[in-house]
Amino acid sequence: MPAVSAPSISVQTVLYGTPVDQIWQLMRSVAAAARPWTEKGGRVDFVFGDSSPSPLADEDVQALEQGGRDLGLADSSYVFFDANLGSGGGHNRVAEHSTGELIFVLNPDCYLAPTAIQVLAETLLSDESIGAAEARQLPMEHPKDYDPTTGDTSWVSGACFMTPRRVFNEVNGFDAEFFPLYCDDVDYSWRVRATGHRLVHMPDAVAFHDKRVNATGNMIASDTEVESGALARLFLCRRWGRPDILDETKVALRASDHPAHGRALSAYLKREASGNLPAPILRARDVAEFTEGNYARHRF
Amino acid sequence: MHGTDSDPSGSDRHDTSAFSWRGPYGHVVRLIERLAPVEDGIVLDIGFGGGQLAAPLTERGIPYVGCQFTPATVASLVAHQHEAHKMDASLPQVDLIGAFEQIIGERPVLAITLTDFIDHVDDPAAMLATVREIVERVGNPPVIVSVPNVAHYDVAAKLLSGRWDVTPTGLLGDSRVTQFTERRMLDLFADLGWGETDRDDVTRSESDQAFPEELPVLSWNTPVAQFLRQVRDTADDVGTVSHFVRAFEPTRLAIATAHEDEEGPRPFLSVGVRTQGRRPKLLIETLTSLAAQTDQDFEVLLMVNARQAELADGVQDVVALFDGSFAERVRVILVEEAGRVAPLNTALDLARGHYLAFLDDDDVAFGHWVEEFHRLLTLRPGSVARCLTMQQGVDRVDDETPGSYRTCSYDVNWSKEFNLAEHLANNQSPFCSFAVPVDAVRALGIRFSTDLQVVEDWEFLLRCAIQLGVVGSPEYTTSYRWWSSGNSLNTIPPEVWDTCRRVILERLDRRPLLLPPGSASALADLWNRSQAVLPDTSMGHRVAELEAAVADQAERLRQYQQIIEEYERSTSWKVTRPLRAATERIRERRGRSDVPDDAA
Repeated sequence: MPAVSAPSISVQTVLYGTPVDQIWQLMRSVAAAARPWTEKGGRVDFVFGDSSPSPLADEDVQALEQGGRDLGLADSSYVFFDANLGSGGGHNRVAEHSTGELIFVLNPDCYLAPTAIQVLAETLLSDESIGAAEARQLPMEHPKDYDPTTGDTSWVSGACFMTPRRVFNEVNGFDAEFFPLYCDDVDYSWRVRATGHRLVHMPDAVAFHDKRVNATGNMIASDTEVESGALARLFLCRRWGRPDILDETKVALRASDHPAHGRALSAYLKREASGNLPAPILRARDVAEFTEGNYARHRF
Repeated sequence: MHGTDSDPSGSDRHDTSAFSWRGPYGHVVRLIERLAPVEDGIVLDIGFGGGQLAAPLTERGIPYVGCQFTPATVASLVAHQHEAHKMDASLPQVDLIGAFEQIIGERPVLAITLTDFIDHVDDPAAMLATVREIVERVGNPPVIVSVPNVAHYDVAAKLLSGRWDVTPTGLLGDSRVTQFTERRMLDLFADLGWGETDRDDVTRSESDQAFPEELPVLSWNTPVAQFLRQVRDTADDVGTVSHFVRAFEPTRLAIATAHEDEEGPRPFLSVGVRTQGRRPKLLIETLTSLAAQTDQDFEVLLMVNARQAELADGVQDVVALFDGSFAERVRVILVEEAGRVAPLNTALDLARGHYLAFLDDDDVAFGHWVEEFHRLLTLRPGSVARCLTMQQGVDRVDDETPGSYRTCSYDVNWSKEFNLAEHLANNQSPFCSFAVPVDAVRALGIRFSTDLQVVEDWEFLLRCAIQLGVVGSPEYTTSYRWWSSGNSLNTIPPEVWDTCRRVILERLDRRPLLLPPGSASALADLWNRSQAVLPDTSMGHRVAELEAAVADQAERLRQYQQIIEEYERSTSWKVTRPLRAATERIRERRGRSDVPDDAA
């Protein structure tokens, strides 16, 4: 990447039935976080793609687009997909519309700390070998490990990470076919890693991600998460060269009494029967980490 | 005698109309004597009742002029050689003022007294407006007022018993048409632009309303009366005042009455964030979690507990980083008073919200923290709302390492439900987990104790919970950072913690304890279970038995060790060493420990 003091950044999110109030709240945080960057001469725009069954009302769209500009963003634009592209597919579509040299992938249920954009952008600019940098999430951090000095980590969370557009393009963005909702970030991360880039966790960049915990203090996972996560795991094992774990996972899903597990296994087997599976990647084991049922060593 | 009594005279408790130095008229004279002298200044006594002030003032060389609307009392004073004038209450205000001016003439006025007067008129505000006109025309002398306190404990307690005992004179004298609390009196004068400049209230621990003696709420020994007195005492400090005796003068300060319309509607919640301004990265996280709330009906009081103003400036700079719609609801307040408690009481004083909750500058709220409090307090307004808290274990990192900390765990440690008995033994509710009703807390006089080095939040919670009750939620709504080093648990000695806990319990022990519904069965069950665990023995006896058994075992061990040492020192033990070594080798080869001794 040529040495640019403040490259342009496109912040993008994919909506699905997201309340308008929430979109405003997210955009306000993006605008505040963009200020330090624009003061350095950088340009930050905000693109919100929509996978919902029906689009936002015109007046809401106009208000949001103008509101973003009034808040100081270089631009704010809405893209209705008229199809449910999922998260990965949605971001791929939005990336076609955005122009920033850096792409900031953000969940619609996030709220950025005011220093998040600057910290992530400066992290990427500090070292061209960094292919993606993620923020620390509040209130519940992901337990995956990271090097406390370099930030190196196994994968970056799709809820809030920044990546150079050249890297995004090099790996053709997210794989929406096999990872429409979950583990699309793990797969993206490892494909970035496979090109020789590093992935880093930057704890000084903070994003509030509105997660809740259940009565035992564990994160609440919807049935969709359970099913998509299980299916995604099977695809990851297939693509990233772990037939042993693939078989173990199948056995576990078969034995599970959770209906979502059964559905995930059925979906995979159907694909398997039709030969519609991700092709294994060469030297996958150099890149992918399958550790104790997770995709990274966990701190806790 | 159960308390300080300013009139131990044997006079009929119903008759407070006679002059007594310990009664309202005596206190009025004392206040007059404290005024700056005015040469030949008169005391204009309006509505003078029986003229009780005339003689004592005259004896002290203070010219007395009485103005009354009742002819009989005027005649009586005149007959005793005092100046007294009959006023016509039917006169329009302007004429009444003219009449007063004529009476005063050119004489300087030391003070105007209204003793047991404004409580005998239908419209005290209108009468005081007239008096204000007079005051302004005669050089703004102080106005000294005496009125009975209808909120004396005896009256309040008897009302709870369904009694309102009107008497010929006294607190509920039958000629009284307007009742006064301290607040009503002060508001009345504040509306005129007058502020209090001196006071000499009459206190009676047992007023003229302290009858019938057998009424439980009037007792000094019954728990119900002790509790009610406690409640009364927390409302204000005039529960035993029988008569307010106050001096008022026009104040130069603008009367700033906070009208809700001017400041806007009160938010649902005030969030007090306590910081020393030295952890900006963590403060950003705390504020981010607030800015991200699903329910934005709150204000933030960011209490900077520091001496240096530049630390407050730094905090203000952090706030300015945030989106304006959030930042404009954050007030940065410098609290220079040392100690961790001062910012909390300041927040309590300044909170505009209906409810108040706290976060330290390393706490993080979940997205529905405010929303959940709102839901609970809609169900049970006026209660303490309590949610659950995650404990986030964190290690510090050095300044060279990105991030202020590294998370190493999330745990759920505290009790899921609020149980008062459990909370008396141990606090199970981190500071960030509860919200209290501001107006109720202020009305009860509950504040954070400044003499506690730690657990000030625990005491505050107990006092609120005992009197207001608790409504709980099973939702985890906050994350409390548990630092592996440098937190108060490992920087403050254990004995300080123990002392503070003991102080809190001793304070609670001094008064009756109000328990929530269901406590009778819970306590009985607790007692029975404790007895089942230790049948026929007390805890102390059981501990003594165990200690004796441990000591016995320790002595046996010591004796065995002594025997072993003697063997090892003995000659035969040393001689047989090679044999023992060989035997061990054989055992190892055979994998058996039962090789006969003659196997070597």
